[in-house]
Amino acid sequence: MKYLTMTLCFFCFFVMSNQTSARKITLTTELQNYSGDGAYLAIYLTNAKGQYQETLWIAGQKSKYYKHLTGWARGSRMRTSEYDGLTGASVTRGKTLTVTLDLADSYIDSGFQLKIDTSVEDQRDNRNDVVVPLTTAGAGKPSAGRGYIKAFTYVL
Amino acid sequence: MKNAINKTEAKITKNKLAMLLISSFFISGAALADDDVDDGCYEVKGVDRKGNRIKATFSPASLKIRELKIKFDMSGDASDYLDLGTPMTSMQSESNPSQNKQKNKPKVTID
Repeated sequence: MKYLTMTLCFFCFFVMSNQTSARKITLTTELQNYSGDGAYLAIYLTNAKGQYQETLWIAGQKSKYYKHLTGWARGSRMRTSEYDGLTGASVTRGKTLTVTLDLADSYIDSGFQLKIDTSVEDQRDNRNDVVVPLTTAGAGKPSAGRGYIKAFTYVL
Repeated sequence: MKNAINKTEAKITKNKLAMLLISSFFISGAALADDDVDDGCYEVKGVDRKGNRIKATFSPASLKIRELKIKFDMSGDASDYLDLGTPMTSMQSESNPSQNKQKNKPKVTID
């Protein structure tokens, strides 16, 4: 009986730990009404020291322009394996990009940062257009961008 | 922790890739070794239906073919490969879309 109880406890713990390992996160990025073509965006995670961890989304499909997303390009070394299956269309001015994905719980409230690099053809590249710490307290609070991004919000 | 997740994902992807290759119309006897991962892409060696040796490289998540090398023997030529029609991965996704769907593919909208 004792063993049965212990087994059940372990099973419940295992199920619960599996359920809490990832969390849904929605990233909303609204662009400024700048003059120019569609913007390329790299949304990625770094640790507290600013070291690249993981690519969340790349807006823009031509990989030859990815070098202009300078911070991300340096961290990810633009390896295909880093962004494979995580790319989509570029975002034109005034539009809002919404990305919903599963993110490991270990990234939240652990000093990790969400960063966005942006680039527009024949215009300046913006490394760290947005930098926000990934915390539960910061969820839902809009942050202003320094370049082509008007506002960025994440919801957990 | 990230490495552990990557290893699990790699196993799942490798199984999916093996199934895809076995069911494909031009590769038979395909083999995928553990050390055949280069820059995160899967390198597969095998023979085609005419016995020509082939080497293919696939993207890890989308399983799109990135590189295909064929070593033709004396009787073979490139005509078999010049009229393949729809790429293998696209055919697979049309026939069974749920199988090719990625586990954690983000949902994206632009409004």
